[in-house]
Amino acid sequence: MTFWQITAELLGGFGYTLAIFAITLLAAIPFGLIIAFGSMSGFKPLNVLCRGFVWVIRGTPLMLQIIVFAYGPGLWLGIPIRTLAQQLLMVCIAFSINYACYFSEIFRGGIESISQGQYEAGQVLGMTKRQIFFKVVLLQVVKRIIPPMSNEIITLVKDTALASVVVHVDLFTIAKQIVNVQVILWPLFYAGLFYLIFNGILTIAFGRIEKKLAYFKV
Amino acid sequence: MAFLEIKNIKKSFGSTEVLKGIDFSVEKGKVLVIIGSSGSGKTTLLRCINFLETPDEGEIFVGDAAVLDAASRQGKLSDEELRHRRLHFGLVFQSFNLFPQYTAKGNLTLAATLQAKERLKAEGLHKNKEAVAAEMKKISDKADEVLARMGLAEKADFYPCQLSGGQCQRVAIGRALMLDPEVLCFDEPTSALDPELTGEVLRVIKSLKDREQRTMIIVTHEMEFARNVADHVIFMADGVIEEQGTPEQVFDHPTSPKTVAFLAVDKV
Repeated sequence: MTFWQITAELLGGFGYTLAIFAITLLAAIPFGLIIAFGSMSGFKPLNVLCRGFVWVIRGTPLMLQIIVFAYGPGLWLGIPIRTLAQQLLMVCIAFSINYACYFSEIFRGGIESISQGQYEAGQVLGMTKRQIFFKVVLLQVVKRIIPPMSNEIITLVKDTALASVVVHVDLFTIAKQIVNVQVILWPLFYAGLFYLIFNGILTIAFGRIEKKLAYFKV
Repeated sequence: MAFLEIKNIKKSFGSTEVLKGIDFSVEKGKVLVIIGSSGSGKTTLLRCINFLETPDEGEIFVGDAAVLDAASRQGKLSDEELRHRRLHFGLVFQSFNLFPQYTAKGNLTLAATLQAKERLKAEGLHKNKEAVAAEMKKISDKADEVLARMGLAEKADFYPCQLSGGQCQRVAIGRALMLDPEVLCFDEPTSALDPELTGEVLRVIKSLKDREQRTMIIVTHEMEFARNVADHVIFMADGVIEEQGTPEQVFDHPTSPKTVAFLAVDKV
């Protein structure tokens, strides 16, 4: 295999890695918000349910969760997951649930860190709870959670390699296969470069957002 | 009947009775100053008046309207009605509580803009660009005018983190004035400020009395200012009104030993 052939193979794998990353991110953020509100809810059963769920998901390996989602339906529900698309879907669901739980704790911390005075100021000005959240609190929360979120999101880029327990199409798995077949080591480092560059781009993007929100202090 | 009537307000937190039955009234255009040591219930009283706490008992009337009647359970009121009623009052906080992501002017216009939009929507005019623009222009002009009165005309586009504490508090006063509350309340408006910045805030509050005849309730530890601005003074201790009267009566001829002790500490 020439350098260009390997590059093309790795790019193909990177496409799947990107897809898993993007789908997980898009699903985990809203789901994480729902769990965050659930764990802050005054309604005890919902509160306990959400916190318990977060405990289980954060307390067990992501790889185990991927296996449960990929093979569980076939084993216990009689709905075998066979096609690549189905497998990828289940992998994305497992990733989304896992990251939603981590995100939810970041969201909860961010929301709870906003002083009661901001809510009270909104209230005495006759604003609704909705208006206070969306017009006053939300942007302050976003500013607070950007650093921990960028941390998690960068970890997610690398965690996509765990998809290899079910599907063999992501960047890292492709690199490993090339290494095994060709008996050369460098494609692994080459793949590492892909992750590094992509995370570099994300780091710059987060830096920009932080700078954009630097005009006010929380 | 007086303009603002507070009747038998009681409030407990758990087993601690913070307010043990407070009655007072304020005439329109008059300034009531509440003094007392920390823990006497001053702030809780102000929070009850502004619906930030729900009193266990008591009634509040503004003009002819019953604004609060604890016996008939506030919980039954819709959020809408509650929001409407609390706009009789404005509150300026000790720690300003400005919205950090909005400019000084943005802090003034935010609530007014949201309310104008709701009103326009109710009238079915929210898609009428001219009506919306006219309304927004009115709010913007009013904010400019209020900022000028606060001596902050040049600071309109500054964010709170770019302003001094005194300027922040003046923005907060302007924000409360934007909604034309019938009674404006101040909760220790200068306690979070450096001593050299209290003067500018106190001058603004004084000007609200002298120039606009605002009805105000001020909780403060600034005794000179209290004497200067008050029409009526209430001294609170342990959740009751221990003594009240004109500033001369309370400051110069206090009758209760508790008032005497409180004022003596302040002189040292």
